Amino acid sequence: MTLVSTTAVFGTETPFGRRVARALERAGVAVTAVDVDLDDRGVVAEALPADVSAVVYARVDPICLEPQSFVDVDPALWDAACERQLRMLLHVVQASYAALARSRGAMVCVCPTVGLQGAANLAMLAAVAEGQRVLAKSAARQWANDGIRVNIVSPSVHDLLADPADARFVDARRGRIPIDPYDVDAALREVLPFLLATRAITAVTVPLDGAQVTAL
Amino acid sequence: MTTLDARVILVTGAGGGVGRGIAIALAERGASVALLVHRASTGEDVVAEITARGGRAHSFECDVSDPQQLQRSVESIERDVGRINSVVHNAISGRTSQKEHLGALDDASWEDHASVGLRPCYWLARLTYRSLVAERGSFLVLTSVDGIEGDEDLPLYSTVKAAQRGLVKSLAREWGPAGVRVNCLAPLAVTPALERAIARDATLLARISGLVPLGRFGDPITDIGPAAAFLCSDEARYVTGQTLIVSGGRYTAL
Repeated sequence: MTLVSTTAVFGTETPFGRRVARALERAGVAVTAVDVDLDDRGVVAEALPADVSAVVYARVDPICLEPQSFVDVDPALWDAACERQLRMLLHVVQASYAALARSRGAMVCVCPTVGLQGAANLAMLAAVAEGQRVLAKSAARQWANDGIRVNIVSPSVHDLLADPADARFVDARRGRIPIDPYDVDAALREVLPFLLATRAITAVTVPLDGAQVTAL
Repeated sequence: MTTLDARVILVTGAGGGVGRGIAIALAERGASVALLVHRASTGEDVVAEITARGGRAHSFECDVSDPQQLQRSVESIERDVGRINSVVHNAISGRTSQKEHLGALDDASWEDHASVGLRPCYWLARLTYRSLVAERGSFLVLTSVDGIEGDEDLPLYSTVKAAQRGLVKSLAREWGPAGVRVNCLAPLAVTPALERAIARDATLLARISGLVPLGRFGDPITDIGPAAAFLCSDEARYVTGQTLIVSGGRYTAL
């Protein structure tokens, strides 16, 4: 296994993105936070350091975490909380290719397990999570022969919240959690450096949710 | 055979391929089918085909990427027939089968895929929800195995198909208490794009059919249509939030 030199982390302007960056730093990874306008693919490409050998996309926009009856979602919110989120990851994926191809590096995307299970009143978050997860898998397939690996980690939606006990998300957590309590920060510290370094794995999803989702 | 008597079912992308096959299969089982088609002529052809088989169908020219056209179509169906029991969203971008390198994708690429495959899920859900609740109906989205596994050649198509699945699973949970079922169907079928590819390469069909345990690609009317009919029927009254893969055993990951 090779050590990861420089890791660019996108999403550090969001609470979970900061948590991911902290976990990487505590694991000894050199982190460069890339906090730019992800709506503009040109800006993203310019902002990404050329010597990057790993990219982590950890942007879970708080707008996606607001419970909302789907039929009450207005078109502007639909775009902001769903399609825009997918476009932003696309821009990061596109911008990452050159540096990752040079370094034969790796990318990890954070896609909450709600995309795998669905949740009432979080339909846009689920659509984003699943869309991003499969965009990452498609990139993994397309870039495999360039030596680039792309994997996914999936935290529970409850670990994305300011208040994990927020009763509005009761539907997103069903049944007993096998590993309870579950320390998602410790999991990030262990799993992210591994996924960024290993050459043996690509296009896989690793749930970091205490084994609540075991369907994969 | 599954019975859909007295059901009114809206089908998008019904002018050809899988959508046409589903529309014909639904009508054969007694449904009155509202075809949403991009070009009026293709809708007229399918209506004529359904009528000749003894079924009922009406065609609505509708660009599903235009919310106003979608709204007008839904209002016309509800005004003329009084209800919508089920929605089948099948329409996909015309660029679906074109190979795409991630680095070459631009805003127009995203718009092509999202405006036809994903965004109409949002609009159709909003526009038909009341009718579906009143009828304890169903909402069916044609997705793809690419939306589960990803596809190196079709990254945006795969993304949109996956987003549809996340949406469907959530709507199934959200709408279940109101009696509305929401599912996905992932077909492997002979499509117009595949037929064109086969015309260019005579060995293609045999090669790709060899990958399918049942030895052939699905027929839109006789293989895919019945599965859609099942998911729209009372026989599937305990099925929601699922993706039914109809692929002759080609895909077994779920």
